[in-house]
Amino acid sequence: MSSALPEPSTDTGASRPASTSRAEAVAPTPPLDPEFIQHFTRHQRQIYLYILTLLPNATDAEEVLQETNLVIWRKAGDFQPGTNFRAWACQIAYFEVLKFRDRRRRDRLQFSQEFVDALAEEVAARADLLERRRLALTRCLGKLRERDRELIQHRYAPGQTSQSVADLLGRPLNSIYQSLGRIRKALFECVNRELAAESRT
Amino acid sequence: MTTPPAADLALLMEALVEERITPEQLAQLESCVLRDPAARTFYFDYLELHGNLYWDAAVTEKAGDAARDEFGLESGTLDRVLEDVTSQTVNGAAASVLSGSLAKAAAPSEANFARRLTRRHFALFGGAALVASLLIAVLLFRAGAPQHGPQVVNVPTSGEPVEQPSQMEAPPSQETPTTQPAEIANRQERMPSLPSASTSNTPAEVVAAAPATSSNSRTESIAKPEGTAPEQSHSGSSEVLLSFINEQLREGWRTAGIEPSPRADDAEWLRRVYLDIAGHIPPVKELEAFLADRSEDKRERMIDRLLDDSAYVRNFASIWANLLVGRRSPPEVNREALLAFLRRQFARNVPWNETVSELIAAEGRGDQNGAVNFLVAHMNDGAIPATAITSRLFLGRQVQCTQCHNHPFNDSKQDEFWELNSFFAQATTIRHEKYDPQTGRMQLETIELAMRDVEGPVYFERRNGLMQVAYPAFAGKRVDPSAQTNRRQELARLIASHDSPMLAEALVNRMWQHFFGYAFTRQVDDIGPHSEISHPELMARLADEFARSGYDVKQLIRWICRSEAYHLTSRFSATNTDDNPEAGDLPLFSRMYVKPMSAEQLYDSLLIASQAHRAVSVNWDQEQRRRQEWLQQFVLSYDTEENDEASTFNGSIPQSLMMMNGELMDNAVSTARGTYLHTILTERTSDTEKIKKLYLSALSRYPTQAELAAVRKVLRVGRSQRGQQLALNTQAYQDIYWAFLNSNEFILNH
Repeated sequence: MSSALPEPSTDTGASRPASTSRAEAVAPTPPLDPEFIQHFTRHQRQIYLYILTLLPNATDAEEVLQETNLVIWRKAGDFQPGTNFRAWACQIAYFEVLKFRDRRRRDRLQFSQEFVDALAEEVAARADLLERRRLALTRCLGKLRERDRELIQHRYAPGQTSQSVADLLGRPLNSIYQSLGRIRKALFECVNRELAAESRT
Repeated sequence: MTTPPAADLALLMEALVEERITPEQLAQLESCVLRDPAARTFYFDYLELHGNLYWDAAVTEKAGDAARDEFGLESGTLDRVLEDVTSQTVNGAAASVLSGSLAKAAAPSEANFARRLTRRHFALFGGAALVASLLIAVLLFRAGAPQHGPQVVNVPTSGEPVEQPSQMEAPPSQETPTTQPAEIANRQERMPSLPSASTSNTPAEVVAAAPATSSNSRTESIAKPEGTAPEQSHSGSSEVLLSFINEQLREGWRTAGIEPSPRADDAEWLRRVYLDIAGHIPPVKELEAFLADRSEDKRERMIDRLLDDSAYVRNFASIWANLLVGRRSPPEVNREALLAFLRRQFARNVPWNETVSELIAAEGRGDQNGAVNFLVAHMNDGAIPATAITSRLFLGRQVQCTQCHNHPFNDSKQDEFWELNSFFAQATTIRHEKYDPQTGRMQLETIELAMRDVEGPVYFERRNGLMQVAYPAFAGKRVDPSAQTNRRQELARLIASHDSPMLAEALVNRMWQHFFGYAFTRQVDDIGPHSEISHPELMARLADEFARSGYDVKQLIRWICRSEAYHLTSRFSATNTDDNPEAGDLPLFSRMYVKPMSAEQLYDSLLIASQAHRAVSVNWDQEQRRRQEWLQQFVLSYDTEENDEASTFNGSIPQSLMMMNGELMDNAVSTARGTYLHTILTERTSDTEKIKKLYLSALSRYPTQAELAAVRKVLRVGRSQRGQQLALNTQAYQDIYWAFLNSNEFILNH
């Protein structure tokens, strides 16, 4: 692993205001270490989910993921192979979340700092079931009624909101909310059932 | 009590992911998630689901983006992508999610993080790994697509991808409006044709109508003076309020995009209003008179008449006795005395806040003051059940969980439970016994509820083991904790005062549920900041008007029964199948929801339909005891802290068996002198006429032509099989009537 960065510590000081500028000054010559790249791509979803729990707005979380990715890339040299990539990346994401919250303090309803702190730690430790739950979700989507699946598909299509789906389908917004709530509940319960069934076998 | 009711938390989560959460809800969610590990897991899992759905849609977009940018491959990430894509394409569902978002991929979108992401990475590291993997995803996806089910065929590969999903959706949404008018027209054609067909085609019907009209004019002349008087005294405010109720409900239908069911016919409505107000089905005479009545305001007059009937008093006294002390009350409770107290209150239409005050502050012997028996039933365990039930029944707030910990979903703190409990600290029970010469032992005579000198706080334990104190306080108002204060009187005063809307809200919600089958909240006695209300403005306004009316219970019933929604049929129409609270949605009241009869309603209705008590001729007291015994057999009681009980009278097998084989049913189809069957069979009328009477008495409606024909056939078959004319006839009629009384149509209030 080439350590192009002047600070070879595993500490993610990169996000602290003081070191951010230093990190940015560093020439963006990232290491093309295949293992690192693999870690990086493989953990995108997990890092995204981590951010989303602390900042539960899907598009905000996207933005923070990008900021986080930039820092991860910049600090790639800090990562010590063999250590937990996810924990390392989540630490970076955490600071990016805090920075984002700081920027958006005025224009958005936010969780309290107490809440974010309490959850950050716990969610970082919640990696084990993620993959199984994701696969279960895929199976459960297959079990939905066609109509319901289409609605989910519309709602989660990039750039869509419930309002735009309501306009698109010519249905009242409230009924879209109700349907989505019902479908998500069904998916949620289905995933739990699938996992319970898996752990029995 | 630590497991969170997922429904409430799910509502908060829904508001969160749809970005319509209020600051209050957010605070609620936070405190709930922070406090309760189970709620935390729920929170994580729910957002994970949301995130995965979002991510999967976005990943496909990355794929679309990358496909156009065409980049080289990098082997390191291949397996990952392979896994990702195959796991999704083998599954038709995921494939269609993929296809949908793929459709959007070509469209310009600011929220297109994938594109930005990939662009930045191009700059950073030549984009090798990520984009390459995504390209593979697309290639695999497209190659695999035709083999994997029909949904994938819809994948728009180029052209106008944004329109595609809307076109996919368009056919169903266009279909619905076109089929709706047709169906409605169909219904309208069919519905009026039924009665007209039956009246014109059968001569017997015409015969039946004649005596009905004459008896009708009698009832009308009696009803009028009674009916119109209360009407006028309230009409000023009532009309305004009624149109408010109707408008609020219509608003809900409009928002949900549904049409209400049509208005119920007179027979359906009369059976319903009888069961709801009087607690039993209408007697045949009443029904015939009502059907023949042609006046415009006959339904309103019927509501007023039923409210003045002693059956109303008996019905609501019995309902509230069950709520207050349970169907199977403990032996210390003098149920008869409590019933007598309640009958007095309902008969005199005593303002609800006064009745509740009397129940909370009651003192004296249970056999002399019936109101005492409510608390006597709940004074065990340091009055913890009394605290919980007072809050639940009269305030519509569930506090029993906060006995041990702060409420996970609303602001009630553990302190509040114990502050409320503190009001009952002075209450004490004294056991009065008397000598029973028959057994030679002392036996319980009655329980006296008395006040003892208690001052200061009650003590309780926090979950961390710290002892805490609670002084009597309700809704933020403290009372003097010294021994001179009569705490229960103070509590009664505070609850009944107009400052707190909870008392009115709780009764409005419960009454609404009584008449519509569903309350404004998912649980009738769990109103609070955490519970979603189907019609918040309507509930608030009704509660306010109810309090202003001087807690006039009959007036509240009149408002509810005169509302448009109460007159709708219970049949679904093509347009409102979405209004289905049984599926967990909030009710829209666009049709009448079907209610199972309570055990009491069923018993009393059986007596009305069959006059079965005439078969075993007993006096009123005996009859009451018999009724009570019959009801008891369905009750299972639990010795929980809330003194719960469950009824097996819920459409279960015990109920069915009892209905089909019980003594009551035997009596109901008995032909002993005085029973309804005996009366019908000894009348010199045609079979058709007899069948119609049986329909009227059991199902409160005339038979359709098809039904009439079917029943006649049963009678004919019976006759040809057996020799003697009379016995066989009787038996065939008994069988038919038995079938009626065991039908779903009979045991449901619809």
